[in-house]
Amino acid sequence: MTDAPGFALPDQSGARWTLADHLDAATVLVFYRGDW
Amino acid sequence: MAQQHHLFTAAGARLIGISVDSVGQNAAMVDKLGLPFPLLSDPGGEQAIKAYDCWNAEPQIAHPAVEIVAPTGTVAFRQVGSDFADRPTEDEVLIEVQRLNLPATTQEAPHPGAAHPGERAFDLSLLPAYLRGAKFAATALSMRVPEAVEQAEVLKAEYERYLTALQAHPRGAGNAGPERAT
Repeated sequence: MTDAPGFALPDQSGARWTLADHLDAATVLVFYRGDW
Repeated sequence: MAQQHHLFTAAGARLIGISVDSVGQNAAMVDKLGLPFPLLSDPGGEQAIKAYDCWNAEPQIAHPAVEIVAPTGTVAFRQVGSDFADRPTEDEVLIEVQRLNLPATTQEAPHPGAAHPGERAFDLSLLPAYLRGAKFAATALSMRVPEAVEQAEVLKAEYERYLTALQAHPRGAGNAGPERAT
């Protein structure tokens, strides 16, 4: 299985969200086009 | 995915949405739809969208895609679609999560931010009419294009699900006055 690339991005409140902080569970990444 | 959020956490997974939208647009979206999970902003796609191979270079946005990162830090499942209708159903994703056999987890409600909806932000009260139109278009198309019947049925079922979800949504169809996103 491929290693999941780590990343850090701002959430909707501007707070930093990192994948590394959330590896105590699975994470479903839902990519979507946005800007409809 | 918002409708079945509790099933995902029960199966040991949290949800996050990622797009090129700004923090302000995402704040507006979380607020408007009452989403139970955060939306992350990756405007140029450099942090996550490209790294997960979901970048659509022509309109500079993400392809619709679902990827499941296991607690081991590996990608346990990925499906990248070509358009918004081409993505796995909620049930399919849930089954993939359940296959990981994880203990239940929790996900706190996303923190609200300062909403700055995009200029094209859709008024929620318009959505049912839009979805009914889209469903009608899928029906009409499937009558003319026999090869598309199967896909049209999938789309129609999906639109029907959205309509049902909107009925149940506190600010959805007919539950409140028109909601201005601005």
